[in-house]
Amino acid sequence: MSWPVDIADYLLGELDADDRAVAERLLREDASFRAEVERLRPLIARLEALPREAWEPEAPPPAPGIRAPRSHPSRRLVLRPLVAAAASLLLLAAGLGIGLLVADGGGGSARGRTYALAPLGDAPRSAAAVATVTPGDRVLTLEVAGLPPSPEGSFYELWLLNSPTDLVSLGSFRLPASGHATLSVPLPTAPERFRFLDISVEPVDGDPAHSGASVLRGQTA
Amino acid sequence: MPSVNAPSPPYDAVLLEPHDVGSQTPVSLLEWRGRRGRRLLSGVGRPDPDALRALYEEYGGTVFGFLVATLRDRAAAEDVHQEVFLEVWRRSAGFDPSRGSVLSWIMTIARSRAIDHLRKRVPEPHDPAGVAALADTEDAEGSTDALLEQWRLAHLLRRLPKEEALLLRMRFRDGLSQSEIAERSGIPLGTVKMRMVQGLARLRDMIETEERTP
Repeated sequence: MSWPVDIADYLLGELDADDRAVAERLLREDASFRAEVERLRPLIARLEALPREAWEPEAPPPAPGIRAPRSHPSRRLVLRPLVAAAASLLLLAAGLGIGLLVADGGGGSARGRTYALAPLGDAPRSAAAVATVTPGDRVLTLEVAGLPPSPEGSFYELWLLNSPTDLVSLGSFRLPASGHATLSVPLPTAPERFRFLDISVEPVDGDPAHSGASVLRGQTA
Repeated sequence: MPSVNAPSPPYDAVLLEPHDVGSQTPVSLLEWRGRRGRRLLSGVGRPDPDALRALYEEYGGTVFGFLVATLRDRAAAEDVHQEVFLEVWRRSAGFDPSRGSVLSWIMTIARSRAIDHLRKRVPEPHDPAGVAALADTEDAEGSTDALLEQWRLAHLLRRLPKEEALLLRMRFRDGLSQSEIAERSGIPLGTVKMRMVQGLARLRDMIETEERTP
């Protein structure tokens, strides 16, 4: 549609007095001009009210299980077998109060398959976690106890891990002063495809790679 | 860098090399359309991490921006953001495209989780003065809806052709006149005006399409 004045100029208040008079006459006499103005004017108001940050939203936090490629290689990750299973599971049962649920070392049950995670590195010996995947569900529920609250500038991250070239982040979390938390994360793949469930301490440095600082780990098979 | 989890006897250490987490092809946001969103969402309904990743890349920033603006607490926004996409993951199989767009569906989930969080912050009133707290909660829901509309618009802006989005940003974010835009960008004034109208009309069409869907 062509009019003697530019409709954007009118809507944006950029017409001189003469052209503005033309536009106002069109508004009264030209239904199509009027309709177009009425259609666009609310949008102009909404755009003018849009906060500055909405024009360029910041990046969201890393997604559970769908991390972006790492920008630079740096960290070394060391895998090792779990500590003695029986001792770990006793600690887990005591620490989390889940008793017989994990007494078989992370097997299946009517309530779901469970995986026990035992402490590594500098983690307190009383730290433990149990992950549960209910049958048919694609969500993993993790109960953690005994870890220190998240230090300033860092967070905990849960991984499925085969090797440093074959791993997937399931989600990040912080712990309160109690050191106890229960969280649920989406499962993008079957845990059995990986050898380990692993919890690491990650610095807030924008690097999506595993830091190499694991604090809890458990076998999935 | 020394390894924190250095192996110690008697365990057999397996030392592994530095690595990449994986390689993913980023989604081109400008090529995004509702149909593609629905297709990806149906992919999320299956155990397909690529589909969830693509959805996250498309909508994650919008949802996070909305949550930060609504909750005014970055740490809380991160927690709620994770809850939102967990819910998207869980409920994706039940998404019905005839009842609304993917954007509307995800933002509705984000709104609900944000309001849940805001309600948790408000203590139950134990005296008449506490009624004011409930009124504040209702006000908060109203402002949440206003913010939701702002962030839906912000999301649609990113679907515009970049040359149109650029002009709208210079006009409405930076407050430049069309003449100033032409001067600074080197784009002829006539082209600036044409693209401005095209961009506004296209955006209006997108909004109407979103609003037409029940």
